[in-house]
Amino acid sequence: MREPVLLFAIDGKPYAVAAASVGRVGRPAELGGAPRSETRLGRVREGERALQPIDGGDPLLVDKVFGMLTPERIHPLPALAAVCLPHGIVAGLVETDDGLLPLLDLRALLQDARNKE
Amino acid sequence: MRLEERSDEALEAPDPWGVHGTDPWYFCVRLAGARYAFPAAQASEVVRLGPMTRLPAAPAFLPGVFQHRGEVLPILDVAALVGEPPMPPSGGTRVVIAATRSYRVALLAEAIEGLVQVADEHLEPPPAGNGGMLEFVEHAGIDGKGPLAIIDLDRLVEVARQRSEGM
Repeated sequence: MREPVLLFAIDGKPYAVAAASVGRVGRPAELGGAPRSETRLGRVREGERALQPIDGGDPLLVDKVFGMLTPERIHPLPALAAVCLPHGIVAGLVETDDGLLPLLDLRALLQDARNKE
Repeated sequence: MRLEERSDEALEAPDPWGVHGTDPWYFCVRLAGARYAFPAAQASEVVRLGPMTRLPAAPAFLPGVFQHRGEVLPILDVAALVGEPPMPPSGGTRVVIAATRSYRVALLAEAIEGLVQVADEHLEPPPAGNGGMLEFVEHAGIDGKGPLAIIDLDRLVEVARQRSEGM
């Protein structure tokens, strides 16, 4: 089954998250909570949009949202990469016409950011 | 001398490095100016890197992944793993696809030499010490191109995994 993903960028780098893991996309002020900008993805520069997880909680501040995509294929992380990224924020790799994009686990990313506070 | 006799003589000519047909083959790469080799059976092919995808928060020795014939492979920068300056991979950089017991990886090296054969009698215990690449050296050897070290690729990849814990 092909699952749609939401594409966005932080610090000039593109990422994807499973669309099903996102509850709302909007301007930070509209979503409420305390938008998270300090994550392992680098420095948020513009921060014009935020992604709120489906189960609520603080949203993730992002620079740009590109839209949705239903990729041809989502690859699991190679075994060595999976064990070398124990924080679990990368769930796989989305195959696009432009190459592979990291597919992030939004919940794990935000939890990791909270843990590092 | 008949042709047949010359032929036999050529077959029995001593190799200056003592290599016999049954001696093991290794795959040799250059790292930090030195030659390192691992059993040839672990190397499957040498390819040029296609577009590389960086993984967020990955250790320096794992600069990214790339796709080759539908398979996504992690790139392992051995120099970065042993504390040397990381090698900046770019499109066209050649990597060796190798397999350990548990993982398939694309090894990034300064240069790829290829297959070498080293006579067992030219292998010696590793030099003393355990810093840098010495941690992975099983034997020191020599062939027609000079000295080289035989490394334990399984151990090298296992150490990469261990160094990622707690990141």
